[in-house]
Amino acid sequence: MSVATTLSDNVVQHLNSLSFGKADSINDKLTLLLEAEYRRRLARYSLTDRQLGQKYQMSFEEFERQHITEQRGYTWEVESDAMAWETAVDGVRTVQQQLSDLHG
Amino acid sequence: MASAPCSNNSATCTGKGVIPTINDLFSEARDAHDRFWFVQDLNIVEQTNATVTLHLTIDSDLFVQAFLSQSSQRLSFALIGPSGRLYGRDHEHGKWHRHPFGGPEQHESTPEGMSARPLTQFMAEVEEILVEHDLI
Repeated sequence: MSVATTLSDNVVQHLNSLSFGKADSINDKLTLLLEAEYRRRLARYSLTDRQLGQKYQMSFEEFERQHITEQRGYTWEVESDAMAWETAVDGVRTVQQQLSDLHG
Repeated sequence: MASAPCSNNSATCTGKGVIPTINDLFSEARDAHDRFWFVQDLNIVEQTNATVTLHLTIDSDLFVQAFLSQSSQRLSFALIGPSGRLYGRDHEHGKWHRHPFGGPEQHESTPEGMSARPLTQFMAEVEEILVEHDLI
């Protein structure tokens, strides 16, 4: 399915002048830009997951199963980590789905 | 603790308060932006399929953070200043607790939970704190 949209002259000029390998059409270039943004997010979520896994020496599932936030007295640090970690773990799943959807 | 669906099918009841859906929380946040005079801006900081983090800006170094995970039912509200959390309420693993203003490193169990519009309740509590302690 296609929908009509309006881009400014400036954006179109930039898209036309930017080389993207085999992507010639603006649609292909925007698809590549979206993919790059999704991969950037995937890398950031994966890094957060890895860093917090190292910090607590366990997976997020184990962190939750052991109620680590309660064990550590619900400090701001551990609660902030829990939120960041849960966002990262779900973010990986979300972005993988977005990448899959993007390429149909 | 097992969760049971609420009668309006839009949120999850814990028996000790109501955990909103992401859409419910967005709706409440938009209402809070309109209703509370001290809220200057509303931003979605991060959103994934099952989680969302919102910031309601009060001034340059004071804001309310709301976090919700629909999968774990973690719901967290915090008034945040330059030194970190100043006041907070959290729902984790089926239980509610509160971090009192003046002693936010402490936590006290709040088995009564929160109202069916928890962000609105939290913002009303923040309003009292801001006025009482001349924070704005």
